[in-house]
Amino acid sequence: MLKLPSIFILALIALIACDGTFVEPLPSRDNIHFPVGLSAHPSGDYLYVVNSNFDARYREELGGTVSVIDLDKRQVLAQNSPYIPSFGGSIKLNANASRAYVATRQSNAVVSFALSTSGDRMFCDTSETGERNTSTSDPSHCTLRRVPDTESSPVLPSDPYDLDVSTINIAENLTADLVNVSHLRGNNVSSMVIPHTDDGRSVDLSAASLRSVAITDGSGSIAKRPGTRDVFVGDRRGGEIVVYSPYLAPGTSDIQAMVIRSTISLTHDPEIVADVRGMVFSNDGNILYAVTRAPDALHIIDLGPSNSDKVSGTLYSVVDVIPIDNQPSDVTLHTSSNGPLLYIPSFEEGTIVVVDPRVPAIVDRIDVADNPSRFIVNEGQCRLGEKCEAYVSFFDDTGDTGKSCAESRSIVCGSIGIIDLDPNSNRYHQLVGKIF
Amino acid sequence: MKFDLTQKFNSSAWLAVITTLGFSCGDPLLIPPTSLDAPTHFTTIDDVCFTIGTDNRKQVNFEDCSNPSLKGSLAFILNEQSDRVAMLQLATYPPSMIDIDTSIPGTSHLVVGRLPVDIAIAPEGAAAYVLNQLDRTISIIDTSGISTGKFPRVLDTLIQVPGIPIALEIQPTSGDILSIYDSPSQLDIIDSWTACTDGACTITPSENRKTLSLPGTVSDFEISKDGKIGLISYRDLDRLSQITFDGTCLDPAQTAPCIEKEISLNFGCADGLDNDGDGDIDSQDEQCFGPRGAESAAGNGRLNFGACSDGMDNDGDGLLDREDPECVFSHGQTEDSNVFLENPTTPCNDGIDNDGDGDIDAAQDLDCYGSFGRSESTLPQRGVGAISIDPLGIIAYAVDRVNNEIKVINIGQGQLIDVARSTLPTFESFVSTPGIRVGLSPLDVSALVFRRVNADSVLYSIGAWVGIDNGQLQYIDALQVSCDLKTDLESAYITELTDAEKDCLVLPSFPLPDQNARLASGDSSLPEDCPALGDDAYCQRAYKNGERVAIFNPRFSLADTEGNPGRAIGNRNCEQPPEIVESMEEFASKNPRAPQQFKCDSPLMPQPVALSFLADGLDSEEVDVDRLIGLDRATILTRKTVLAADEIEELTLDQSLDSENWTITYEGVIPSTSRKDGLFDTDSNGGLSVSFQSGVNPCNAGVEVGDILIVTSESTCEAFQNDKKDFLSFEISEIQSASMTLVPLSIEGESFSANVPDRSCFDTAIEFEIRARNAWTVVGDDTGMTSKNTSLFGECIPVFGDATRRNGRVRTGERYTGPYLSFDLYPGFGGEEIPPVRDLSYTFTVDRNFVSLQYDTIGSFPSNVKFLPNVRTNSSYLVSTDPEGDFIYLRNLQRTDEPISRLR
Repeated sequence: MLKLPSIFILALIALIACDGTFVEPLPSRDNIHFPVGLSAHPSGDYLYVVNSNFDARYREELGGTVSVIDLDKRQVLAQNSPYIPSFGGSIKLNANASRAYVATRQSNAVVSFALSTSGDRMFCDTSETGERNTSTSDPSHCTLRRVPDTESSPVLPSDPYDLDVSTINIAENLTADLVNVSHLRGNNVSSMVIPHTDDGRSVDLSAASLRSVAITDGSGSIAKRPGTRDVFVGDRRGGEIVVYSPYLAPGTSDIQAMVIRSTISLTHDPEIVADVRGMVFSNDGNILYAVTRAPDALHIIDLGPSNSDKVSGTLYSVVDVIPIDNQPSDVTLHTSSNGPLLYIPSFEEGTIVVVDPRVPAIVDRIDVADNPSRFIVNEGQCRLGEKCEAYVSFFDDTGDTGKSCAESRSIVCGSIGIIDLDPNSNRYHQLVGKIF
Repeated sequence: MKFDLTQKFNSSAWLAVITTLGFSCGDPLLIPPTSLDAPTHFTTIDDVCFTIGTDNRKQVNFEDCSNPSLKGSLAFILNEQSDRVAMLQLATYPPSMIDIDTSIPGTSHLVVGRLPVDIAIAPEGAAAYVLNQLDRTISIIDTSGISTGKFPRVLDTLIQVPGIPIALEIQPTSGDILSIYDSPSQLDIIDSWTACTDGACTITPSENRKTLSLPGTVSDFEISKDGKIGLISYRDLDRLSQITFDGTCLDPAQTAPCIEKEISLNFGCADGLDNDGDGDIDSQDEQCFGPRGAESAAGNGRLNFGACSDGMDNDGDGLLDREDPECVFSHGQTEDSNVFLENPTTPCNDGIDNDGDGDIDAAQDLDCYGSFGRSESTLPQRGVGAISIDPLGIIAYAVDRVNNEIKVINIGQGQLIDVARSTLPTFESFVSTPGIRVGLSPLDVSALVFRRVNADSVLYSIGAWVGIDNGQLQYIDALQVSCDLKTDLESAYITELTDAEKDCLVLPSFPLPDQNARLASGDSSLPEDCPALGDDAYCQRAYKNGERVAIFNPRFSLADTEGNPGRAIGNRNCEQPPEIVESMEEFASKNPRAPQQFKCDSPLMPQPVALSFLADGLDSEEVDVDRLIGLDRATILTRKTVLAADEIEELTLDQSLDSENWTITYEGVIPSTSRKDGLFDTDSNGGLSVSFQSGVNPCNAGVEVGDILIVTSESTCEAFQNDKKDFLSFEISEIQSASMTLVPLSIEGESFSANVPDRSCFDTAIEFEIRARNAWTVVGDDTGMTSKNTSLFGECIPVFGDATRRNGRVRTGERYTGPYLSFDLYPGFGGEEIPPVRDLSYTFTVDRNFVSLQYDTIGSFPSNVKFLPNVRTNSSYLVSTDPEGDFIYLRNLQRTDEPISRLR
């Protein structure tokens, strides 16, 4: 039964959703504003930035945007950038880059945007919801809160933040997006399975399923192990990584259970609560790299076989811990001609720590001065070989003003730094530009 | 029992250190202003002389040692985050940081390159070298002037490292600089560039550079104090490389310094080495049935050797050992057919490429352990982390984070010590790894040797401190070696042996062979009075070398600070079926002088008692007995004459005990065998069998041939109905992994039809239970019941190793010796007139009484642990760095009056 506050919120949302025009102030769509999540189109041509409205300057329910950035021109494509509810978190694309999923803490939602084939435009495809218009920048048409959108369906728990998106086969000739969601507050993690329609680019929300399970003490990081359906959730207050697997009824998109696989303790001191801020797997999926605050460290977790006789099972053992710069906020693996390297932004130190995971050892430290938050590599661009860039979000960068965002009250707050990752470049591992 | 490292060495003070400081959580901590920033490593120069400011203890001056104010060690601490090397004086209490520039607020340190990760000291303490990981350089700190009052200073000259720097050592005799780097993995050896005296250095860049390729990614490197060997550990190889500086090279084409040998760190069939020299490695060796085996009977492994692993075709069928279909496991005692399984289907003979590497079955896939190997997949090698060589170069320790243990290496023998097989008593059939189990996620280890001088002998305690990532420092007790040396040497932590002591610490190979084996092999080190002494324990441990007889007591476990052995409490709890009470009452009525006690404390009925009570005579009226004792682990200290009694210190295997409830039940139900999912059927031979739908493997559960299966469901068919108790009982005649063959039992002359009990006669699921027959079951709440068998390919076969303690049952009047504890099953005062009845049981709690000797650094990440002996008079420090807490922890293990320090 819906309680009164819930009814009020839903009514308010409904009012806004039914209204064709937005009420000012809406955020500006041509600049970055407290950026958080980043994602790049596999073509290498476009970058997507989740702007969070962290200072609550704009309307709560539409205070954020997803900036679509033309990387060739290093320019935000304002008209192609949709609105989202405030306090956005992660953004992830599915395998064929037909959809982008954005977690928004305001509204407790995941927004499922369609992407143009070239990746230059992100929008709500309203034809999927049966409306006359085919697209809009209004996220209310593609916001997932109750999945499927029927009265008795499960509701996404509060405070979704990080996402892991992959495309899975659920039956012969039928694929679906598996969207795993971490929640900063509360104890839940969620998984959604959203089947594709025949063309593989649209989704059938009516056949989607959602299931949540309370297994963490707040989680800000989630990642699926390659080649499996095992999902690793980093606990922010429990000092653990919990491993679960959504179980689907055979041949369907129905998540019937969330099977708990294991719990990995990152420290064994009960007074130390490691706060997991980022996770990434090795290319073969047999090693998990997790960065934490308290301690500020990179944890290397062996996921190889636990049974030596049958070479089977999973070890889930922390085999190495490397102290790193203060307040790491993310970790990304990129493999180049120099081999695999881990990039770990340090929020407090203003550095990107580069770790060779094979040794493992810190092999470089990129000074970026500002407070780096998220870090991604433009793998599509790097594959083409002409150049190779990474992007880092500076949460409260005000350029040269010397003031914090709170002090300046500028509408431009935060930036995207561009790091050269081309080993052959004379600016390798340097900050080569910024997008505001 | 009490761990006694230094008895008679300032004995009362020392024990007070252990017992008082060990639990002095409320010690005042010294928390000066923070100057350290991610301290990760440190090292020391000894015998430095200081004066210390009275107003500002950080204001330190160095002075010559002709008439020193204070003399002690100088520590250098690497700070990874600030790229600085802090200095710390240990010449007085409290130790204090040294401020190199008191004109600057705070504490100033030496500035080196980016991300310093390792540090080493040149001979005579003339210089310190710092390995800078980010800069890929080595910084040089001139320390030669400290004896003339000059501060250490960082030279401008840098030595380039041609790779990702990992570890740094200085050869203590030659002064050569040895750095290990990765991409590619190599050891780089260069002449000392630096000649520093009296604070002035001559830099001579050398062209004399030698590079050794290394087989894996290095995790640590250490050179022995005497400079004879170096050991390199790898994170991706289960072996150590031993470097020699003047010996013979493994590669005959090389000259020293070079790799002298590879030391295995795993079982012989999984270490990547050809241990027996037959040219075959691991899975390719025909004596290897799996990764837990050994390549030869003399190697380390957890699989037995028998006719199926003797390298011979015993039955003449042309198929050798593991390739013979009758030999699907290693300790088959015959290759004859019809003994065990024939031709089981495994991933290595199923015609499928199971691991997707393009190779099918054993014929193609080299990862298969023969045609009956259980996997085609490549077994990863996970290597070890930090290593430490004791100051005498006898034992090395390696940190295994995956298995949460410390691996122990006998350096003289070039041998990984399989500690489970080497302790006495052994426990190899209970553990599957070769190291010493410590706390979760060990980080670092530091070895030590302590010499305790007694009146007519010397006892050497050999062990190591281990840092755990919960901030604890734990002590492992590796060996206690007693030598018949009468000496006026002092008890002390030692870093070298006197000539008189050298014959005391020549380590034999472990496990120690027993007396008979030594006699059979003509072991010349066996003391002459063996075996005339008739003392097997002494003659197993005693080794004569030169003029000395040394007694080697293998301990290889965490040290225990608790003074009491594991024991049973709650001895009076029992379950008495009415029949046993009736028997006792009847017996007592016939024997008026018998104890008139009929409850759980009655001596009349059969019951478990600790071994000593039977020796003392239990047939007394008052019974309040210990039910059991932990297994003894004797340490033989001395043997003065043939006739004199040994001085023996008894310890128990408390660490292995769990605090749990144990229940001893006559004909008890075997755990997990009370089922509701039995399916009865006739087998292929027309016999009766029962199979389980899921859940339990009767072999692993402890079911044995001869046990009783009792159907407890009521039947709707007359053939299965009878008022006799246990009417529907079967004797188990054969056991497979999920089924058993049964023979109907006749109960009191009445037998039911041998028809199959099936659903036609049981309208609900058939419930049954399996009970031990004519025996008591011994079951721990957590441990369960120990089975002497294990299931392989569906067959129930004996487990590896000494099976005498693989035991979960005992008969009345016999002695039980299990994994951790033992007792006698006393028949009772009434003897045969009061026989045990089914379900008579005793339950008691075992109190572990084990507290590891450990200290809490009150940090979380002791990245670098070192034991520093004799940093000043009567002071030896246990030190660890904590890069998360930005402090260095110091505990003086020789001074009870010195609080711990956590310097920042």
